[in-house]
Amino acid sequence: MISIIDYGVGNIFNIKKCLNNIGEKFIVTNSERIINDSNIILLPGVGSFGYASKMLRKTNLDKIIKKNVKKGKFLIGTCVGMQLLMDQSYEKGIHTGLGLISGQVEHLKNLYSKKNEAKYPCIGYSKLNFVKNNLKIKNETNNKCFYFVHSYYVNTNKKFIIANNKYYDKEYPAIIQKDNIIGLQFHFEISGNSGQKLISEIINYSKK
Amino acid sequence: MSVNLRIIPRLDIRNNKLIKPYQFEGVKEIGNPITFAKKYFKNNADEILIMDVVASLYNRNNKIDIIKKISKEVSIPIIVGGGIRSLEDADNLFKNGADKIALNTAVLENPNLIKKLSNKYGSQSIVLSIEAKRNSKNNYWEALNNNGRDHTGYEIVEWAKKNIKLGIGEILLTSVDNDGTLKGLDINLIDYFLDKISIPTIVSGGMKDLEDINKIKNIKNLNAISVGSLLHYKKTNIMKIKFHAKKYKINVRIK
Repeated sequence: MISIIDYGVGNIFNIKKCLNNIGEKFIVTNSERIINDSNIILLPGVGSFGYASKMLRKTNLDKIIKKNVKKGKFLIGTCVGMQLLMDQSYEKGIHTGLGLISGQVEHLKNLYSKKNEAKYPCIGYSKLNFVKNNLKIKNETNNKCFYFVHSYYVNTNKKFIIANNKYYDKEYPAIIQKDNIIGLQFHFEISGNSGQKLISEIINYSKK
Repeated sequence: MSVNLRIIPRLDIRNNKLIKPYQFEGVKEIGNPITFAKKYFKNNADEILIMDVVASLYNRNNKIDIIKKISKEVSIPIIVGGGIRSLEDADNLFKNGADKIALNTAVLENPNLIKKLSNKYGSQSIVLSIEAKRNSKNNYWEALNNNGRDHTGYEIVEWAKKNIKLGIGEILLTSVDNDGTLKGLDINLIDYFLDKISIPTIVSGGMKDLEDINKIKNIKNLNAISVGSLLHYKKTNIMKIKFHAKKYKINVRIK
């Protein structure tokens, strides 16, 4: 059973639909008991980091998630949910994250020189550039396109990076992993059949 | 071009039917939008754009029902526009499968709405729909509202910049002069606009044939094209457009 963390942030309609399509059992919850009983925690997130981290703390879910992760339970964070894994974010102020993977959340424009014509947010599909395959993702899946839509990215240690995304001439992390903690910057749930395959493989990896 | 050009079918709907608007006036019914959306998804559409052409209070529940059904069939982003005037309207759409909403008339009436929505859902889910019409008397493109019926008095770039500050994350730029005419994409308009705007833009209106793709290959930073009549009347299909784009070295998502 997967717990989708319900903390009043963003739009989880499509995540639910996607998990239904791949036949995964899940529950949308903020109950400590249910989260403790589940095998995998999925932390979604759309919108602003500051609001999301405030809501996590307010509901005490930050502590519940950390406790479970410490016990070895798999945690998958997507989009802002991935960014929340970091120490802090510079999105509209400075905000504290869960600190589960060391790193900062910064604006994409920090990657480029001022003259660069890159537009923000980064919106669209791209192929990922895998640097290692710890997550055992099949070749036929890892050369597909996934849907990105975001203005901020995670600046983290190379050793946590599984795959990068190239936007204009620069790369930044698209998938990160530290032990039982996984982060996905793109939206698997609206990346067509490829997104369904990828999340299904990551969930299978997390179950083993 | 660095990012994959997105090909986005545009479904204009009225009372549950897919229609073809002609320069925003006059209308022809084409069929069931759900059937068309499903077909386009299978043919590798990158997103689906659904515009409610005669949005009214009476119509609202119908629209939500259509969005819900389309969203069940496709797993790519869905943009919904037309008649969104309040936070509640937006909440209802996001709850039922919309990934982004496109605002137009409401922005002029209530600029605060963009701020509220982008705080709640993130600016990446808020699209500003600009209907551009050439004002030949004063030699500029004016932003129109309400399916080309109302004047904002703003020049399009000025209008876009004002709303970027409020928190929109993407723009849908429709050429009112070319929409539904199959006259071809308005290259002057697209070139002029993209050069001055810092966020991604979806250009819409009037794609004539595959040769239009040839015309856009030199436009820097073109992110997405929305296509209506050409697809609905089976003059081409999405994969044909994408293969054609590839021929001109424009990156597209094939799978």
